[in-house]
Amino acid sequence: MKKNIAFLFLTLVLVLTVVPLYSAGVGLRWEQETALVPENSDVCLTYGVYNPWPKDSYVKVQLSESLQEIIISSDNKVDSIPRSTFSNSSIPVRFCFKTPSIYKKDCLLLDSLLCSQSCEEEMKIYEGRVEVVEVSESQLKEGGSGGSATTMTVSAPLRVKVQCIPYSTDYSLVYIVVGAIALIILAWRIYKRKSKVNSQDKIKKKK
Amino acid sequence: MKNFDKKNNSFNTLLAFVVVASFFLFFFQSFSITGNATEGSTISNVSIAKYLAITFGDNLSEGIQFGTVNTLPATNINATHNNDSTSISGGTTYTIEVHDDSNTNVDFCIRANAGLTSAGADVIGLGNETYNAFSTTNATYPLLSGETSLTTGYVKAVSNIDVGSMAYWRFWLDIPAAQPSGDYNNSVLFEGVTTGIAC
Repeated sequence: MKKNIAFLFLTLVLVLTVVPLYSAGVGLRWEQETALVPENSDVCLTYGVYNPWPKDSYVKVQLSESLQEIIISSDNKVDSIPRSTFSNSSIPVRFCFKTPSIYKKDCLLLDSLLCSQSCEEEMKIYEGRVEVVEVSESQLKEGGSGGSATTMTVSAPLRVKVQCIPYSTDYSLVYIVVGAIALIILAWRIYKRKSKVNSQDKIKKKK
Repeated sequence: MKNFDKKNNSFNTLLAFVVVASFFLFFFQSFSITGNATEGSTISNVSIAKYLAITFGDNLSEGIQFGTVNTLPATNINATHNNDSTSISGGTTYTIEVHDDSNTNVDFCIRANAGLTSAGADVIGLGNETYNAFSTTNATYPLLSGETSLTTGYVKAVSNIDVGSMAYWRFWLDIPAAQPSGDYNNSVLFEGVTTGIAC
C-alpha cells in the first residue's frame, strides 16, 4: 500500500515537473518546395500543421516578405491545433495566391488584342518561405525594466517558378469579324436586288 | 447594263468567297488535326515529406527579462534565466526543443521587431541587446564572448540541432549611461528551418 502511494506521488511529481516545462509548440509538414505555375493564374498550396505537445496552440500561415509581391489575396485566419496532434495526423491548412502577369507580349491592336508571346525571357523565380507563426505572444511580467516578448515560427522553403507559355497571334476574332461583315454586305445586296426585281415586276404588271 | 450586272455578280461571288474563306480559316485556327498515339505509359511517383516541430522551454515562452537596473551605464546584464539551471550547474534554462516527431535537424534563426522601446518612445538600440545559442549548456556555454547583437532581419543563430534535442540560449543587455528610466519592451522572434536552408 505504502509502495503504491509512493509510486503515485512520484508519478504526480514527475508529471507536474515535466509538463509545465513546455509551452504549446508548432509543427509543419510539407511535401512541396517548388511550384511551377503559369503566369496570371491562381495557385493553392496545402501544408500540414501539427502540435505534438500537451497544450493547444494557435497558428497562422503566411508567406515571407520576399513572396509578398505575388500575393493578391491570402487567408490570414488563425487556426487552432489541438494538443497531441502528431505529424501523421497533421491538420491541412490551405492558402492561395495569384501569380502576376510578368512576361512580355507583342500585341497588334491596343496593347491587348491580337497578342503573341515568344517567351524569350528567362524564367522568373520567386524564392521565400511559408511560415507558420504561433499566435500567442509571451506575456511579460509587470514591473522591472521590461524585456522582450518571444514568438516562435517554423518555416518551409518555397520557390514559385512562374512559367511562360508561348503562343502565336490568334486571328480567330479577325476571321469572324471579316466573315460576318462580308456576310452582312452579301445579304444586304441580295435583299436589295430582290426587292428591286420585285418592284420592277410590279411596274410591268401594272403596265 | 449587262456589264453592270456582271460586275455586281463578281462582287457578290467575292463576298461569298470571303465568307467561306473566313469560316475555313477560323475552323483551322481553332481546331488542329491530330493523329492517334499508339504508345502506352505508366506512372512513376515519389513523395518526399519533411516535417519539424519546435517549442519554447517554459522560461523562454514567458519572455526575456533583464530585471530592474539601478546603476547606469550597465554592460552585459544577464537575462533572468541565463544561469539558473538546477540540473546542469550554471546552465541556461532558455531553451527551444526540437520534438522527436520531426524528420529533419533544425537551424534556428532570430530577429527582433525593434529596439527595446519605452512608453515614452525612448529606445535602447538593438545593438545593445545580444544573444548566443549553442547545442549544449553549462556554466560557460553559450559563451558571452560569442555574443551577437539582434537585428530586425532573421539571422542564423545556431545550426543542426538534432531531432529530440534542444538549443540553449543566453541573452545580455547593455544600457548606456544617458538612458532615460522606464520599462522597455520589444518582441524577439525565433524561426526553425530545415538544416542548411537560409533564414
